[in-house]
Parts: sequence; structure tokens; C-alpha cells
Amino acid sequence: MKKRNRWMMGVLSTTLATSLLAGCSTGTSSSTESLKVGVAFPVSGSLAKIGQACTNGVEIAKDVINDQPNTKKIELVKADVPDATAAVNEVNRLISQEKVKTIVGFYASPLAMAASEVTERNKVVYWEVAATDPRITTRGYKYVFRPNPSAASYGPTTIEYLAKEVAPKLGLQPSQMKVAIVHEDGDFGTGVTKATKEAAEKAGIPIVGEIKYNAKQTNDMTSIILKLKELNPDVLDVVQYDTDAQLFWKQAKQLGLNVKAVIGNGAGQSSDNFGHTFGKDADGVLDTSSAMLINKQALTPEAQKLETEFFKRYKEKFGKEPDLIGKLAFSSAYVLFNDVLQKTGTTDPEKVRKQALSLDLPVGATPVGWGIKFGEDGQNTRAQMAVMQWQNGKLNVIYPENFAVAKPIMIPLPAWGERK
Amino acid sequence: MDIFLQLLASGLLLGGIYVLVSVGLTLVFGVMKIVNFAHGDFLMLGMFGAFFLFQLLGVHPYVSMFIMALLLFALGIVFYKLIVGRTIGRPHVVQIFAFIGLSVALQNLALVLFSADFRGINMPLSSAVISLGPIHIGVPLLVAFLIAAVITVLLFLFLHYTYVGKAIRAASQDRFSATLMGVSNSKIYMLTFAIGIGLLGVAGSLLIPIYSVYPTVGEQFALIAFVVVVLGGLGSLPGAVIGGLLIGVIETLSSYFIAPSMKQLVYFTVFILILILRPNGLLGRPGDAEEAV
Repeated sequence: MKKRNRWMMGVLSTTLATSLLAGCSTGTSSSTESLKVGVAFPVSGSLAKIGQACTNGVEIAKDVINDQPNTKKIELVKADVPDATAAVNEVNRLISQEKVKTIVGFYASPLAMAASEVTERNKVVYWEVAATDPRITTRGYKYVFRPNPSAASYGPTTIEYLAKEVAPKLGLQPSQMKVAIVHEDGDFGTGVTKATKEAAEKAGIPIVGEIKYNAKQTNDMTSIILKLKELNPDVLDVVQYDTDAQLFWKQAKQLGLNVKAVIGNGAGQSSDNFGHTFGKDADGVLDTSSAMLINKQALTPEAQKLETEFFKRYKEKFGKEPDLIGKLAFSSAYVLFNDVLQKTGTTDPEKVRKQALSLDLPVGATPVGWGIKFGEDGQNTRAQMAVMQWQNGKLNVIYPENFAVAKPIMIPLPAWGERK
Repeated sequence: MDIFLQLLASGLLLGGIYVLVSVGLTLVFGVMKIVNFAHGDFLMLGMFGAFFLFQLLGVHPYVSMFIMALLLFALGIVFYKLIVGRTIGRPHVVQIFAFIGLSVALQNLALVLFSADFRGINMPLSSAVISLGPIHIGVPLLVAFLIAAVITVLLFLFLHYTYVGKAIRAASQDRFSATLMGVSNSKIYMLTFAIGIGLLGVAGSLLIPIYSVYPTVGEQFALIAFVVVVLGGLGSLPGAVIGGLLIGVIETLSSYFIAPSMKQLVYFTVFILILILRPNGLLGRPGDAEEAV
């Protein structure tokens, strides 16, 4: 027994020593050759699906950069942040132990809100690729950058589309078009709804009802649908996550809820699952979000090339088609890796911040169609929403016109009994 | 009036689902005096099983119900032998750690094997509906409700009129006297646990036409199942039925007449009131709660 113990100790200490040595050697080489970037998304737990898609997107961006000659190589240090506590702990670890100076994250707004306090306190650059809570860029933080639009821009785009395109097709003035809102009661749903109501007031569109519910604890939507039947709106504006959006639409069909148009705001209606589950029954549903398959003509040649390369590489590496959020993460991470870090050659926060603020990319310069021009608050002012529609099981961009790949169909939406 | 009837019908149907996922939990609770914190995760396995049987082999969920029941019954035996059986008679913390560990392990196993995708099946049954005048009833919900009723009745008959059933009840009432009468507690416990898990195979197959499945779907139902079981009385089968239906109806009515986001407030208030008036739950026996965790 004793002998064995001593033997074990020997093995242990040797491995320890070698790993320490190895740690040292990679440590020195990385500071001279590669740029270390932290990547923190929820890759386990209930947010894992989207967190994994984000991580995959960032990874492809790294591959594209690293496979080019004469580039400073990017090295990713990954962390799993399934909840706010883990986000704070892991970001602390990335900063204090991994000595990371730039972090890409976090996708879910509550995680981003908690973790960004840590990054800002340590003067570490935090590059958000998906979270939409407006407060992320309104707290006066210096090192926060968000290429994607904040939740405050869903509502205005939705209302703009309803007023400009849907109302005429229904033969109504915007002031005659009754809109009801159904939303989940978290930060996401509440934030989007607030901006929607303000935009609707400006456009003179009457909001006849607002129904909110808890997305995680709702196993039945009958009461919500019955209330909607009573309100009898022309247009239904929904802000939902994945599973609740499916339950809602399933029960809307069962209970025969008929409206002339349904428009979602990202998440639930943007998810490929919506098309998978409903097939033809998804057709006609509108969705305001960052666009997935926009018209290639709207992109610059470089962005077109990059988009093609992304789709190819993603399929090769992960064996499936990327979804919207993976492409978003790719596009935004690529801007960081290529347009910021390659120029600065270092992850020094002051230099990164200066370079990011000086970026001036025109609309169409990124694979998702946006330009890049950060305001002092770190919010990209050239991020743009698009309106999409489910058509034959695919989500096609239909608005704005220069992004559109298809014409809108099924407005007004036929009643359930008359659908083919 | 039409609306009220529709709400009542939907509430009862939803309650049927809650009964379905709660009976196994209350059985294990009542007999073994242990709390299965991994209950929701076994339900998740049942749903995934039914999903893949449909997607890959085209097996109708109402057929895979029997397959999944047997598979999960077997799985219940395996887990009893490996883990659960070793915690019997140990301090409560051991049981809690064992089950929570099992829960974390199952969720992450599912994450690795099946990824975090939300998966639902698309078949005509999913949105099939029966209309009785102004009242619309979803067919999958109705089937789930009826099968929940059949299962509860069968389980009740099994426990009251078969030799094994009587032994299970004996062990649940007084494990020491039962042992003295020649009942093997460990065999009874293994059987009970396996039945409790097997029932989730049925529940999972019945839920898959209605809800999508993902690795943490269990959390969505496990909390409700615990509320139902405690409300009805720990270990009481009729209690679980009444508790499940009650929560379902309260949930639908309160989300219509008050607000959907307030429904949890309403049913937890009712829950607290009932526990103040009847500390052992609606049909619980005094003393059960002290013995369990």
C-alpha cells in the first residue's frame, strides 16, 4: 500500500511539473503570437441550444481568421455560463486566471447584465453578439460593444411594417387597425412591448389589449387565446420564446383563433423549430428580427464571400445548417477578430476601444447586412432589423425592400378552416 | 358561460396531465419515504424515447407508450440496483444528494446525446380537435386525460386487490411489521420504484404530441408534480388526482379572470392555505410527512 502511494505521488508530481512547464511555455508563446479572447455562452442548462449555436459561430469566425496567411492568430478560451451566478464566476476566472482582456458573450440578457459589471470593473472589453436588453449599453459603460440591435428596435420595425405594408393590404387606416400584444413577462418580452407601445402611439395604431405570461411555467394557453377571441384584434403581435411560441400556435389552431395577421419579434418565431413543428401551418406568420437569408445583392462582395464561407465551414465542422443566431454570432465576432484585433495587434482594452469606435463600415458590409458604426455608448447605430415571413416552411426576408428575397403572402391570413 | 365551460374543460384536461406526471412520484413518496428529485428527468427520458421512436421508426406515440413503459420500468430497476437501493435507511442528505446528482447527470447526458434542441413532433394528431358546440377539446389532451384515469384506477386496484399490491401497502404503512410478516422490503422498494419510473414512460409518450422535449423539460413539470403530491397528501393516490385536477383548474381560471402571469401566485396561495388548514395535505395521513424527507 505504502509503496503504491509513493509511486502514485511520483506520477502525480511528474505530471504536475510537466503541466506547469507546458503552461509556462504556452503562456509565453501566446502573448507574443496569438490573441487570447474569452468566449462565454450558456452551453448547458435551459439556454444551451442558443448558447451552443453562438459558440459555434464564434469558432467559425476564429477558423476563418486563423486559416488566412499573415494574420495574428486568435486563441479562444471558452467558458460555460448557464446562469447569472456562473456568469459572474466564470468571467472572474477568465479575467484573473486566464488573463483574458476581451470577452465575447453572453447571449441571454440577464447573464449579460450580471457579467458586464465584472468586465467593466476590470476594464475588460465585453463584445456582445446577441443579447438585446437595451440597458446593456445605457449604463454609461466604457468597454461594452454591441454590434446587434437592442430590443428597443424590434417594436419600431414591427409597427413601421404594420402601418406601411399590412394596413393597406387589409384595407384599413393605421388608426382603424386593432392590435393586441401577447408577450412573455421577462426582461425580453417586457422591453420589446414597451418600445412597441411607444411606436404604436406615434403611428396612431390602437393597442386593444396586452396579455403577459410566464414562459417557463405555462403549460396551457387556453385562457390567453379565449381572451384574444374576445378582444378580436385585426393583428396579433407576439413576443415569445421557443416552447411557449409552439404551444401558443398549436392551441390557437385547436381553439380556432383567427386574426388577419400575426407578427412575432425574434426568438420563438425566428427559431427553425417553429417551421419544423408546424410545416404548412407556420406559413403566413410574420417575424421581425435580425435577418437570416437576406438578399445577397444587398451585401458587399466581401460580405457575400464571407457568408458563403461561413455556411460551408459551419456545415463541415458541425454537420448541420447554422441557425440565425449562429450566423449573428459569427458576423459580430468576425468584426471583432478582423476589423478590430487584426488592426490593434493586441487585446489591450484602451487600443481595442479606440479601434472599435473608429470603425465605419457601410450597410451591407457584414454577412447579416448591417454596417458598423458604434456610438459612444458602444451600441452599433447601423444595426438594422428586417421583417421575415414563414413561406413553405422557410423564413424569407420580405422587408425592407433592398434586403427582401420574397414578396409577402397570405395577408390577410386565411381562417384555419380555409387553409390548405 | 361558454367561456367558463371552455376554461373548466381545459383546466381539467391540463389537470389530467399533472395527475399523469404525479402518480409515480406519490407512489414512490408514499411507499419508500424518499423524494425523487430526478422525477422530471425520467419524464424527459420518456419523452425523448417516444420522440425518437416516432421520428426514426414511425412508431405512433400511443403504441410507444407500452414500449417506453417497459423500458423505463427496466431502467428503474437498474437505477434502483445501482443507486437508489443503497440510499435506503441512510440519512436524508444522502438521499437528497443521490437524487439531485442523478438529476444533473441525466440532464447533461441528454444534452450530450441529444443536444439542446427543442424537438416536437408534427403529426395531424397534435392539432386534432373535438368540438362540442362552443367547446373545443384537443384530442391529445383528452387521450392523456383518459389514460391518466385508467392508470390511476388500475394502480388503485393493483394496490388493493393483488397480493403484491397489498405487500406494497403494508410496507408503506409500517415497514418493520411488514418485514416481520415476511415481506421483503428491498424487493417491494425496487418494484415500487420501477413502477413509478415506468409510469413516466407512459406520461412521456402521451405528452410528446403536445409539448416539445429538451434536456431540461423535466423542470417544467417536476415543480408542479411536487405541488400536486404535497397538496393531495404524501403518498395518497386519490390525493394526487384531486390535487392535479385542482391545480389545473385553478391555473386556467385564474389566468383568464386575473392574469396569466399571476396564476402561480394564485395556486401557491391556495396551496399555502390548504397546508395551513390541513398540514398533511387534502388526503394525507398524519405522520407521513415527518417520515419522508
